[in-house]
Amino acid sequence: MKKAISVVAILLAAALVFAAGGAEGAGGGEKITLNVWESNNGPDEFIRKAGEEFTKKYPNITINYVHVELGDAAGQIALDGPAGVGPDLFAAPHDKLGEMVAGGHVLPTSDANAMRKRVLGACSAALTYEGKMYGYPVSAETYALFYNKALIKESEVPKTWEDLAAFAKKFNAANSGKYGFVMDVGNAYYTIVFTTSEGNRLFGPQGTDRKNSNINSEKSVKGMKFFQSLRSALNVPAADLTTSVADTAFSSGTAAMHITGLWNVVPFTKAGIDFGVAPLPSLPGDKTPSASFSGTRAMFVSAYSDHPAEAALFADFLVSPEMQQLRFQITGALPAISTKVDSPYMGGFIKQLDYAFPMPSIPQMGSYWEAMGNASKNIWDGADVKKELDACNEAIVGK
Amino acid sequence: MASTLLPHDGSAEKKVRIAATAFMGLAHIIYLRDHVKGFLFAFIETLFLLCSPLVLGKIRDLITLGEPQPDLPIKMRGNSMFMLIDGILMLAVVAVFVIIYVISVRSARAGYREYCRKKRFPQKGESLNATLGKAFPVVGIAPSFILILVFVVVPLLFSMSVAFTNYSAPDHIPPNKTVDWVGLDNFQALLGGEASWSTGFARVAAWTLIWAFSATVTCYFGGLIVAVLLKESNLKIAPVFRVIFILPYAVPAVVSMLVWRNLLNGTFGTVNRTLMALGLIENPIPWLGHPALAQFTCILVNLWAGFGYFMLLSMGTMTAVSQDIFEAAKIDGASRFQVLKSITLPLVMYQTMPLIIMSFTHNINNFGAIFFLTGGNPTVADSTTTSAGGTDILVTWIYKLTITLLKYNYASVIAVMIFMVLAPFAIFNFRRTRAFREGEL
Repeated sequence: MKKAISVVAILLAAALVFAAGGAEGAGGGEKITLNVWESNNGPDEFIRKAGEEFTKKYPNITINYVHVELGDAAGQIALDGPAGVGPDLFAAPHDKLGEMVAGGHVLPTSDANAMRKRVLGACSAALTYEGKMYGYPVSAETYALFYNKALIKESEVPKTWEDLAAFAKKFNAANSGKYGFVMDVGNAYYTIVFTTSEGNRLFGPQGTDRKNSNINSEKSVKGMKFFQSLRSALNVPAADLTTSVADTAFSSGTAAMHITGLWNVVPFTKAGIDFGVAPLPSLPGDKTPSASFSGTRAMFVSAYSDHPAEAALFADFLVSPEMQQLRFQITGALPAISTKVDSPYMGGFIKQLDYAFPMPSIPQMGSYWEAMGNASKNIWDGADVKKELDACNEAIVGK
Repeated sequence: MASTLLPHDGSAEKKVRIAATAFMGLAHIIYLRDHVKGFLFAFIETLFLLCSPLVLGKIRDLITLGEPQPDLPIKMRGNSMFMLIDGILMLAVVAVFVIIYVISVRSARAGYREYCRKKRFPQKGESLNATLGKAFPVVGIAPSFILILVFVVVPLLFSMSVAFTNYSAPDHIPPNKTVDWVGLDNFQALLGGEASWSTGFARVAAWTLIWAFSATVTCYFGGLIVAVLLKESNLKIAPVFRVIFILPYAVPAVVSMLVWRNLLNGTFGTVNRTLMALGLIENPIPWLGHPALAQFTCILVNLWAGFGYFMLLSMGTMTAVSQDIFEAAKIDGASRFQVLKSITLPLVMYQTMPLIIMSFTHNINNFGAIFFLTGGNPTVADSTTTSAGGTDILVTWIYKLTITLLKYNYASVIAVMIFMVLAPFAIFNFRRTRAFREGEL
């Protein structure tokens, strides 16, 4: 049995060496097809086009796009990878990194130091896990305050959450059936904002404290109590306020302000809304915009790939300035390298990015979303803040 | 020759049995002169013995589920889940082998008894014919038996055995980390451990039963009433109504549930806005926002989507009832209500009762009706810990536990529970069907 394993090991090692050698002499050699997982509605087109360009450069490598949604990839790789039907390269949000490294599904970045110099600082920080860099960032994202210019003057755009609440109350009273402000109050991606006053951060300043999530710290409780008080400015139960509902309210012109991300720029423009993007308001006691989660979308080389070197080569290619420009043109997402892009909405996001912090990527993050999302809903509907956040903390770090 | 030594009086029974038990087919070859059968059995045993190192290795892996191998690259580490399923597959192989072994010993003893009775060995053709005749049903059933074993029994055992492991995120996800057997720990945690988990489990289980019961009963009687009304009304355009009523059933449930989800949104939904515009209500009704009301809404929307099926079913059954009975009742002066109460309803209900039970078991696992309508929302007190919302039924909770939380162990415990609740219903339903009872005769 042991002998069989070692024979297999030697064969696999030989295959790896062979594959690596193939990449260096990329001009010719055996035909290789790389399977790449990405979402549809934009990123798919980008991967296909980039794949064609890549094949022009390396004729022996073709890129095969497979549709797996960004959010599903981390779960899917755990099943498909070991079964031998996984991709060579796949897109995933950086906050799944800890889970994927713990599961052993991804390989480190092949030339991490060079990559760190090429990309935005926030991106390389987000992709560093326990001192090692994994993956290749293709875009950065965060959310900010969208405002409908037809409903609110640019000079009126609030700088603090209190101002926002005051505006919304006034607006709601004056315009029946319309809302001064909407957001998805049951989504932990957005509600984290309220726990960030005075530098309070999820899983500690580095986002790596596995013992204490900080989600039930004094500052968090204070912030979430303020979140609960916002209910008076937006009197809608949590069950009715999903992301799609809030998006629809803004795109149909019934909401003056909305907290959402870059991905909505194109849909809102298509809906004919004249809107602007501003940094988030600041929390009570703070002077600067409240901190938001920043996300990095990255391509990861699967640990189960038969062609890891070629996959890394393609991922590296995707980070090149030309491909980053192409990606921006197709998807409208913020590039992961500093390159000039032409869009009236970018200013607000770039300002907000200065106050954003990378989503922690330790494995405990996996339980954070569901637990904090449910806690936020309960708090919004009037539950005891401290009790909910204690339960949330326990669900995240407990077991 | 060995055969000459074999007495006719049955006194060598023990000798034959020992030889047959010692090695498959041995008795056939040395005592019974049945070489075809004997070598076939011997071949099977040899094959099994040759494979036994592999089989034993896999079974050992099943017991240990692998040791951590942090030094190896991920690709080469043992995967506990593969070990689990391979091990169970090997147990199935061993089970098949044991069955063949028992058959071979029985065959040897039967062969000896036959020899004692006839006082001679069977002639060549005779033996072959008898064997082929007897073997035919066995050979005929074998492929489907093996298919069921590999594709039904093995996966079932696999998913059940996960309930006894710690297969869960973040620390026990193969291949990086190994999975271990933990006995009944998961059952203990869910049934009598931490308060929020056990109350959550009890809450979801209770709602699942209430849901399955009400969803079935409302759809059944809703369909029945509409069918009776359509039949009794003597409307010329009844077929038109029939088509309209079956439409909700014909639209894919996923689509209609997602549409209802938007229509019933408490604040932005069309239903509440219309009611408010008409001045019927002052404040929006939280159709999907209040736990109890959301449960009620689930049952209501399910009734809308499902009554058409039972309507068609009852109509079909009603048409099959002989007109003679109705005429006789009319002559006897029965009123229409009496006809309905004493003839139509009992006959229809008798015919469709097994389908109610089937529908009940279907509704216990009716993932789509809940997940696409409410997604398990709204949240309740223990949702923060358990991730199960106010309208989550067990099967949608399993989905959340596996897909979002990667707690396969808890999900498997719940699956085992559902199985234990549903199996009696399935067996009961199966035993009631006429085909099964006639098979017994």
